[in-house]
Order: sequence, then structure tokens, then C-alpha cells
Amino acid sequence: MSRTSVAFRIGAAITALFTLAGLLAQVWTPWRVAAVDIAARLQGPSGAHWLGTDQLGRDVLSLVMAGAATSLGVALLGTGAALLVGVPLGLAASAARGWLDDVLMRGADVLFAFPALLMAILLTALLGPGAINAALAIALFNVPVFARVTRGAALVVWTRAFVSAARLAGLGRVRIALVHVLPNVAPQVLVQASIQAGLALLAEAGLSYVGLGVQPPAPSWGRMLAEAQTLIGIAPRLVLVPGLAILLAVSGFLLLGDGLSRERGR
Amino acid sequence: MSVLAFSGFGVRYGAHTALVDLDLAVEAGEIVALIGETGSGKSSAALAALGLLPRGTHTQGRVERNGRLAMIFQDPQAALNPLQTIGAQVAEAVRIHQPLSGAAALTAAARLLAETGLDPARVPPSRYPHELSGGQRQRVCIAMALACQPDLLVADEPTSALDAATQAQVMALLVDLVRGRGMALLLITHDLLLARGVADRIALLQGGRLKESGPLPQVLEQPATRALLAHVSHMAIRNPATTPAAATPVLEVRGLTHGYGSHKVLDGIDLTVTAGEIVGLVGGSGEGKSTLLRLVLGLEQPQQGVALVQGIDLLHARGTALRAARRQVQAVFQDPGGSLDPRWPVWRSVAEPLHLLDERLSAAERRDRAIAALARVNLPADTADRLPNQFSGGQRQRIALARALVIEPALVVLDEATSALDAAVRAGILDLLAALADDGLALLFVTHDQAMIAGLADRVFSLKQGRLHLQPHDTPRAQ
Repeated sequence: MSRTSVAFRIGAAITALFTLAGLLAQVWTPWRVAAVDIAARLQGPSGAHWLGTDQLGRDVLSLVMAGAATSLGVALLGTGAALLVGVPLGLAASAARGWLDDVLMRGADVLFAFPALLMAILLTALLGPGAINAALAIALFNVPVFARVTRGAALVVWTRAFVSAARLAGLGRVRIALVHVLPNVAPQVLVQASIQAGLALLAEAGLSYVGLGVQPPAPSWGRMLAEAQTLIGIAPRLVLVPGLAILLAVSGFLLLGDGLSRERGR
Repeated sequence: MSVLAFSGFGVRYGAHTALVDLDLAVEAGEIVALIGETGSGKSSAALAALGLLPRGTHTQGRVERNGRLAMIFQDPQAALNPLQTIGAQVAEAVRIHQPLSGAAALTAAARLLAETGLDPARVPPSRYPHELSGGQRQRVCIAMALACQPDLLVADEPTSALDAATQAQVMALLVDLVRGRGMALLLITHDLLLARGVADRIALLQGGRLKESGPLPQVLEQPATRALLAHVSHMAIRNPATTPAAATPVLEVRGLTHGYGSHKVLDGIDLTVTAGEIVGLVGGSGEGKSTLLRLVLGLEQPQQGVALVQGIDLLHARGTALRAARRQVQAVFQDPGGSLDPRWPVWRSVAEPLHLLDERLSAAERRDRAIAALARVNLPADTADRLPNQFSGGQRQRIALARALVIEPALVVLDEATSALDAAVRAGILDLLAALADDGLALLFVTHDQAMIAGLADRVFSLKQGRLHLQPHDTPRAQ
């Protein structure tokens, strides 16, 4: 526990920073997020507005903070939901083998066949835009990822002698899956979850960018990017700030996953 | 100059102290054997030498290393990547230390493999690890270790996973290579006889402390060494039981046939084991011993035939009948590393079969029974709360045995269950098994140790080409 990898520490720090910013934004932001002040629009960074203001005079720092809550919230909700569905499916496939395994894994193949973002766009287009639907779409394309990772790791655990010993001890397959297999695949799944959370964040930004994520006036990094793109010549800062926020937050999760897997390797 | 020097070195895992105040140096070109019983701290010293101690380990003192180190592990299977050819794996090790092109590294790898006695005509570098025998795999590991041209080779029980004949060959090869290249070798083993044959100096560990150390003849005179030697020659000898004719068979196997693809591993096996009887099963690797055990245990479905435990077919029984039958049979598996859940404290693994009892036990009661079972295999109560990775291979085998005995079954199936034990502990465990058999426990014991099983078993069968052959009872007992 004392020696942790640099990747893990940086990843954890970035993730913690954005999480705290998002949580803080729920109770306090430097300016009211929706406070439009046309007179103060497109101001550069100053003491009052650390990151300046946008084309409607809103405080960019406040928007980024509130956007962190939206982006992380949707990404984590989507990843969490996918974990809750995908891990049991993968575990069941590994435990049952036979036709259930075939059905589940071919199902996963079908989901995999669609490009993730395309499927998310299709789904939100069908269900209507919004934070919950975006999270649902993200969950949908993450389910097969978790099902596969869990199944793959679990198949190895099932061959171990302690599983045979548990069967001799009269434990049923379900019980063995829960008490022996799941705890032993958890570290691997956790690593994957961290990486998928990063990708989910990217997907959320993408959905918001095309207008299928959270709806105005709720702030979001993806929509900040979309709104700022026509102003890139006048105020490149408005594109850079949310862009960097997305880049940093995604890297944070990926580093965290990378660090976790290194931890495991020791 | 010392290539490796421990000074005042200690290792502690949580509350458990594995090694205390070790002072030991290995000089260049020297073969030093570090011997001791299971759990005496040998492997902790080996891991410390290479800086591979698990995280959270507390250490004291210093380890100094001069020059390059390489390690050979006990289990060659686990040390090799199953998805890469052996040539590619050795070449990878070569390239880590020498800036060679891919083709040149492969050539160097082929040369190293040939040097370790792998005939390129029979075992070319394009083979995968699963196509090799245990001894051949260990040779690949030796080639990988040589690839980095080490000054010191640390070998942790390099031959204990191999059968006796292969053991001698691999050991001779290792010593030749080490001497030929002027490397130093730190040989870690529980086998004093093995160490005696090859080492310049011997260091004897007991309970984490260095008991004796010095040149061979000197150490052999010391009382602690003599005690260890005395255990080696001790071998449980049991008089074959006179089985009462009316005895109910605990295990009855009829016409068991099983195979993979078109290859028949088992071809119509008939076998009966009665209460209080010890039946030995010997045979080369790949002859289907483990498959037979899995079928007996109801872990696999045979293609033909049945295995009945006290008249019940484990595969088709349901409900209470199944529970009753399951309660009667337990097993100790070959692989001491894999037979315990790495995330469970030892007592939980040992207590697991208690689930089969009809009475519901509280957690405290189950823990007490687990501790009692551990005591039977000579493990102290403070082992109960530790995790499997804090134990040696031999200790894990004893823990697995404690688990098999905890519900007092009628039949225990042992798959090479004493292979990782050192002489002193093995003698104790064999005595325990013999005593249990006298009390009516039936044992089916798979092993490649002919001498041991000849002394212990009432009947010994060899498994060849899918069939059982009863061995004559006057099998010479090796000393």
C-alpha cells in the first residue's frame, strides 16, 4: 500500500479534483451558472472571472465546474449501470457454459458490432435527448465489455483447484460464483471499469456536442465546445477550456485504470 | 567478492515473522544451498534476494547484490507464457540484456536451449510450453535464466515439481552450467540429500533463524542437520491391513471409461476401496491419474461407467442423498498454490466443507473446528487468519489436508499431496494418514513416489494405457 505507481497517483488526483469540483458546484460556484450578462460577454480572464466569460457573459469557471458534475455524473452512472448488468451476465456465462454462455456471448458480439458512439446516438435519437438517456446509451455499449472481461477472467478462476475443492465441499455453482469467483475477478473488472469510465466521459461529451446529451440550460463540456466552435477565431479560450477539461478528465480515468492494473501486477 | 550478502536481515508478514537476523553471503562462483523445513523462511530469503517480496512486507537489515541475478522458480508451468513458443520466450530474455536483432536473438535462444539439453531435433524452439514435460519446461526456464548472463542464479526448489529421475538430470545440468560459466548458485531446497550432492556450503534455516552454516562436512556433523537427515530415512511403513471380507466398499468404480477426442485415457477401470484401506495409484504423467481422480470425485462426467461413493453416484444424486455422499469424500489436490482461494483467510478455506454438515454452525464454531483441523497437521492456531500467499507450498498442502479432514470423511483422495513437503513434515503427515486409516479412513493416494507408497499402501496399482495393474506387494522398498 505504501508504494503506489506514479500513474495511479496522478490519475487518482485528477479524478478526485474533478469529482470535488463537480460536488462543490452543487452548492457553490463563483458565479450563478445560468447568470447571463450580455454586457460582460467574451471577457478575458480577470480577477472576477478567472477563466473569462463566454458569448452570453456567463462565467466559464462556473460552467466548467457545473459541467464536471454533469459529465462525471452521466459517465459514472452509465458505467455503474453497465457494471451492474454486465458483471452478473459474464459471471453467469462463465458458470453455466453451454447454451447460456453461447447466447450471452453472441449477444455481446452483436452489440460489439455496432460502433459505440453510433449506437449511443441512435438510442438517444430514439429515446429523446437528456442526461438519463445518455447514461442509458453509455451503459448499453459498456455491458458487453464488462460481460466479456468478467467471463474471461472468471473462466480462469473456475479451473483453479480451490474451485474444485469448493465443489467437494458441497457448494453450488451459484454460491461458488459469488464467494470464490467474483472476489477473484473483481480487481480485473475494477481496472476495466476505470478505463470504461474514461471512455464513457468521452462518449458523454460527444453526445452533448451533437445535442443529444443534457439539455440547456444544464451545463455540459460537450455543449460548451459546440457553442464555442463558431467563436474559435475570436475567443479560442472558449474551445480550449472545455476541451482541456475533457482531455484531463479522460486521461485521469485512463491513468487510474493503468495504475490499478500495475498495482495488481506487483 | 560476494555477489549476494544478507546482513542482519529479517522479514515479517504482518504479525508473522518469517526470517530473523540472517547473515549469509554467496561468493562469486560458489554453490550455496539454503536448506530447511517448510516455513523455515527459505523462500522469503530467495524473494528478498531478488527484491520480490510481496508488498506490505516488513524487512530489517540489508541485502547487498553485486552483479546480475536470475531466478528459477519451483513451478516451471507458471513461469512460462502458454501463448508463446519457448524459443520466443528465451529470445525475449536475451534481448532484454543484449541489443540483438530478432533473428539473432532467436539464434542465441536456440543455442541456449540446446545447451540445457533440449535436443533441437526433438524439442525445437518452435514448441509451446504445453507440448513439453515438466522437466523440459524447467530446462526452458534455466535457458531463460542463463540468457541474462547472471553472476548469481537463485533456484527455489528447482526440481521439487519433477519426478525423481528427471530431478537428478535437471540438477546435474544446472550444476554443470553453473560451474562451466563460473556463476554462483543459491540453491533453496528442503531436500538435504540433493543439497549434499552439489553444494560447496550449506546454510540450514530453522524457524526463520540460521542454525548452521559452513562447508559441507562440517555442517553434516551438526545436530540440527543430523536431525533433518534422520527424518529423510524415516519412512512410514505400515503392515497391509487384512481386509474383512464383508467390508462395505467406500468407493466402487465400475467400467470407468473416459477420453478426450479419439484418445482413450481410461479404458474400463474397476477399483474398490474399502474402509481403512490405503490404495496407491502410480503412473507416468499423462497416464490419466488425475482424470481418474476427477471422475471419482464427481467433478467430471465419465463417458462410460460409474463411480459410487458408499453406493451413491455423485453425478446423479440430488438433495440429501448428494449431501450425504459428498460428506464422505474429500480431496487434496496436487497444486498447492491453486488449491486455496488467495482472497480467503486460511480458516475460511479449511472450514468450507463444514457447509455439508446438517447442523448449522456459527462462524466462531466453524473457526474453532478449522483451528482444530489445522492442529492435526501441525499448524499453529495463528495460521488461521493469514492469507495463503504467506505460506510455503508445503504449508499450503497441509492446509489443504486439514480442509479434507475437517468433516471427517470416509474417503480422502490425495493427488501428489505430499510432493511439496520436506522430509520431516512428510514423515509426520504420512504417520497421521496411516493412523487415520487404522481408524477406518479410506485413502486413494496418487503419487510418483514408489518407495513412499510401497511402504504406506495396502495395495498399489499402476495406471498404464488406460488400465490398472496391481503391483506385486514385494516391490523393493528404496531407502
